[in-house]
Amino acid sequence: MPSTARLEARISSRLHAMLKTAAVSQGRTMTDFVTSALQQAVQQAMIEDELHRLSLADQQCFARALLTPAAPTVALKRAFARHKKQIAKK
Amino acid sequence: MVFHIVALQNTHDRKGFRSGEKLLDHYFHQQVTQDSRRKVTACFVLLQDQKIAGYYTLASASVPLTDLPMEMQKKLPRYPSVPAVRMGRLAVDQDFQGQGLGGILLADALMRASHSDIASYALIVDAKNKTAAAFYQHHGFIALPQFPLILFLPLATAKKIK
Repeated sequence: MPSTARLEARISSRLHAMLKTAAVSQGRTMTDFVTSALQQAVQQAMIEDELHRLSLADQQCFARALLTPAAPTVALKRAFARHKKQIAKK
Repeated sequence: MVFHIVALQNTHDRKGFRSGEKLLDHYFHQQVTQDSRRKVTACFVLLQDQKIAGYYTLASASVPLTDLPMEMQKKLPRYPSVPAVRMGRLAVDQDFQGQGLGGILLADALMRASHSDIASYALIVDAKNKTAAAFYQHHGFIALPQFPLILFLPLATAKKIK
């Protein structure tokens, strides 16, 4: 697969004008603006999609762990102790 | 060494942050303020003086458990979906790695999720790779059988720590 691909999309003149204003206000090119917004939307959708595609085995695993929560591991207790020691209270 | 953990502000200098993971750095330099503004995610930073030593992001999530038999669903605190908190990213600056700060950030996220006004029952994390997944497992997180890079910890487990 080539490392880049081209995407063309027809949008309303109004949206185009708004896009230009928004990109300029952030000191970015329109391409840069669109690319990062798209990337973010795709990531978000993929993340949400994953949780909605859990198999029966995933769901059982999650439910069982919630119903009978395990005791904290030594490492987790240590992390909490470090937090208490090293993080200043506001 | 004493650190502070606070919500990310515009006055924090994000540009100098380097974790060594390109995607985590890029996100923190370019994207995070937009996500915070849109309230999609909340970002918390670990500070030493004014230097950012690490960050993590939280978002709310829900886990649909609609395929489970009804008698099992009914035992759950909520059904058909269980509210949870998702930690999409966690990173520590290279200058601060190897000091257990990742664990401290993880503990902070668990405390924050446990003490939130919005009820949630688990912290879900997205591990970048197997090494990251091993880090979470070491802290008691359970990997989903079909999505081994998605791991979770019931908040009830964290609440057992005094």
